[in-house]
Amino acid sequence: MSANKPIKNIVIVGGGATGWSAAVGLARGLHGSGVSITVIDADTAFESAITIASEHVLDFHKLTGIRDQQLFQSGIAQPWIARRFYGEKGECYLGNDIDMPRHGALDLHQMLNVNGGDLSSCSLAASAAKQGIFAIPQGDSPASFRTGYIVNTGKYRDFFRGAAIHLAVRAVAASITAVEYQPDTGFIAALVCADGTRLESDLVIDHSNSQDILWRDCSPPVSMSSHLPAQLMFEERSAGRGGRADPAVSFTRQTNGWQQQVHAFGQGWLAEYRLDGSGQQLATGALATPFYKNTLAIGMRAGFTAAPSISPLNLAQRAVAKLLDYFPGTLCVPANTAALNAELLKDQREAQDYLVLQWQLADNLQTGVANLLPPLSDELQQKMALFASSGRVSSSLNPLVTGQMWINTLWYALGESRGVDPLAYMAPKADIGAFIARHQAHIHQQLARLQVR
Amino acid sequence: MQVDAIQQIVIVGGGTAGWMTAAAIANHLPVGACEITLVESDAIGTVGVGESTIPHIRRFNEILGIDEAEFMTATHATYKLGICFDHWGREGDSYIHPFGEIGHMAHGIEFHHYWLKAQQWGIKQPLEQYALNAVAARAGRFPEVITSSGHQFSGYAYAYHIDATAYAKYLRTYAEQKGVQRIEGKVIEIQQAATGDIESLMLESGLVISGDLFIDCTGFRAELIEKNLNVEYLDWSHWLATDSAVVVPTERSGTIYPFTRASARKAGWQWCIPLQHRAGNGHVYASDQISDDEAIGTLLNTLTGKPLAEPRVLRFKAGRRKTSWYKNCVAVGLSSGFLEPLESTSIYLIQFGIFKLLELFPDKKFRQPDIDAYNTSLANVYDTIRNFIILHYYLNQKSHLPFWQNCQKMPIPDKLKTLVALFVESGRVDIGQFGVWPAVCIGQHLLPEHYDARLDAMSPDMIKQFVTRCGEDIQAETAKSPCVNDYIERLLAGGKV
Repeated sequence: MSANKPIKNIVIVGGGATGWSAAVGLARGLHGSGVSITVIDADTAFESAITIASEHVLDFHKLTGIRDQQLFQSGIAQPWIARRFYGEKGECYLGNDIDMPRHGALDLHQMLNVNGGDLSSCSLAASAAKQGIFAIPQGDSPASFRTGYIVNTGKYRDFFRGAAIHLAVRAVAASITAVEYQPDTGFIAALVCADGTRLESDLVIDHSNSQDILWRDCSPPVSMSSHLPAQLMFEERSAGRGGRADPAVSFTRQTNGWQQQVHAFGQGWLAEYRLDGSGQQLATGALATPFYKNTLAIGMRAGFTAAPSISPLNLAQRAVAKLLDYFPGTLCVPANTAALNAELLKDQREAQDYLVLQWQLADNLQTGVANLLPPLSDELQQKMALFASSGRVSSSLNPLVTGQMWINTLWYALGESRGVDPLAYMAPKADIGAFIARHQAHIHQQLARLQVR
Repeated sequence: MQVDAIQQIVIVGGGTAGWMTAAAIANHLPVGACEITLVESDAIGTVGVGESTIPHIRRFNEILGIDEAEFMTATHATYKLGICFDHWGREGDSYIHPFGEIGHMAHGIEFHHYWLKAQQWGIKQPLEQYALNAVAARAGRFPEVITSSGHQFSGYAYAYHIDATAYAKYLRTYAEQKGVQRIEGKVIEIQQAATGDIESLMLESGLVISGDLFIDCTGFRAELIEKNLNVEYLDWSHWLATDSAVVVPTERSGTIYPFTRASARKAGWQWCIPLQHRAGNGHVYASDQISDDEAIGTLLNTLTGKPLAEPRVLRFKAGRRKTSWYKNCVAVGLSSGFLEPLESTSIYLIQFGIFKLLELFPDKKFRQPDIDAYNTSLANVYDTIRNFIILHYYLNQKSHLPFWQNCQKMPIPDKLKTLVALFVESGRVDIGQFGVWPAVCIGQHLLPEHYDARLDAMSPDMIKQFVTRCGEDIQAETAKSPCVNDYIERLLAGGKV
């Protein structure tokens, strides 16, 4: 049996914010282990010009020692704190809430079910966003929400490239012209570039724009069935300079798809996902085995996810963290690979379910729109059924989307057909009313202080 | 809306299951919201052998506001740092499955990888030498540092050995103080509505008790969930062949060792659990392999103290209820399933079932999505623990004994196959598993083929120093720790130590 040796060479195929994030993540995580990392900065998989990164980006920055202040100061990132869904029938704000206070065992939204009231009025993030206020959690005091980042993808890429180079990651700008395979395993042994560089690769991270580059006669991994239309056209454009920065990411249903709006870096930006028309074509499937032989696909390469759900950049950053938990040796032994794939697919499925639910929410706020969403996954159906039954959400281990975020989204997506926890009817109504009033007053106070600043 | 609220909860059966349920529900619901009644018959015995626990019981007590010293006094409790498994992998083996961590994680890699690598350089200490709980347990000490937070060893958990009958009695007082009504009597008839929901119970005395929600704590008899509602019981005897236990209490004196001992026997295993005032002993066996007499003989011949009563034989069937919650009836305790106490999980499963019910507390509509969520959760926890217990039997090398040879060869559940394959191949354990897998696997000679390859790129001196240091720190901490007997005495005398 050939020995499992430590991985010595990692090649990341494709740069972009995703490829360079991965480079920094791996360089930090493998610091001191003598691993050499090279990024082939060509043939990069598709990335939008403006990326709406969810609050998970904070975890990655913490892991990699990135100081977020630097990103703000250099105009690379701008915080966002809530999602705004709107249409002819109205609008709603969903804060990036961590947790809402409880009265004994009773969740806040259950108290609202009984008492009446809007969920956003109990969320500092949602309330602030509604008034256009950038409420940013300060370092010391416990925050009730987390910020996401609107990211200038190109500048974020450059920032991470700088950080990676500083960590001794090498860059090659030329495309791949040939792939060498190990004869017995079919693993990639080396990549040859147009400038003549030959890169030995024990492990390949694939953020490229075409799978033909890396796989020859090995059959490519099969796509996981998607709960979205097979293909979508994506288009983004500036909506003009001027106007106020917006702490919310807005989302609405249009005739033939969905539109996202943000206001960042001094101008408005629109991004559209359509069933047809002009723009970048995106396949909406996902790889059933993102880790295949000795190659790990990340970002859009691994699978589709979009605003307003968790972005491909976020999933890629999480994938790198999971890779470090299941880090292979040169043999990339199968059970370890299977376990890593299972972990990665959990994220992918959850991101898709979250996306479908949010697109459904956007649809609900418009009139006379055709249903473009295919049947929901079993997991999503169960989540919706439980919430419709008693307003509850099941807990799970290390989820991608936290319980409170599911509650926020289900609350508005289901609207009046949401259920109520029977316990909410058992508690004295006066107590509940008082608790809610106190909490809302506290939010008013915090907002007032923020407006003064 | 309030018309639909549950107003009457009826718990059928006392014992640990019944009184834990009563106490927890009474504590959780707003005062006066529901009438809670517990029906039990002094004539019907409770099983009375569940005496070893896992750390989650501390959370149960904490939520109910139960003081530790008071609890340990009432239940004659001693501390438990883990379980000592003798003769499981091979005859003569002894390893401790500790609560808490083994060693420390470093560079994102778990300690047992470093331990495996260090074997190459002659560092041959058993893995348990790197678990504070295990070292302290063997030395009869309680490392009180694990009760605080912020220390390098904190977060190491501990549990108790308790007199479960006394615990039930304690919780009865607690529950009655919170308004639970106890009715003495034997249920002779159960009335059901046309829908199949249970409407009321009739006792021998003629008294009729009606309810909205019924909790079946009738133990193996499963009077409500099985005898009336006919909910299927999934039989696991093809994976877990033991079906009997003979139990006897013995005198105990001298040093209290803070672990449960589980010694493998010819066709099963034997436990010894130290309490303050006595020890609990039991021999679990497969009755188609050895007779009751042989089982009793083995038990009596290997006791380490004088018996205090006649041995009692109990029968059981390993398995679980297909759905613990059906219509307006929830099975908690033995009525919902049974796994032999190899990893001390009976009280934990009761606690799990109760807290899950509170999380998904119904109204009179008894909506199916909530019931489904409950059943999925219970199925998952039962199956996960079942797999872990099967693992202990499966990983043996005692081919000279037919019972054990069968265990080696039996087909195991697919999920367990996957987990074993993952550990054998790369020493990894999926998240969400029960127990400390490396302790049991390595303790029973299942060594990974590959440790984390990154270790081969690290400095050998660094690894040696790291591993040695971990061991030394633990020896030092153990030497500093008080003797268990003293610690308990101080706790009971002063309330706080």
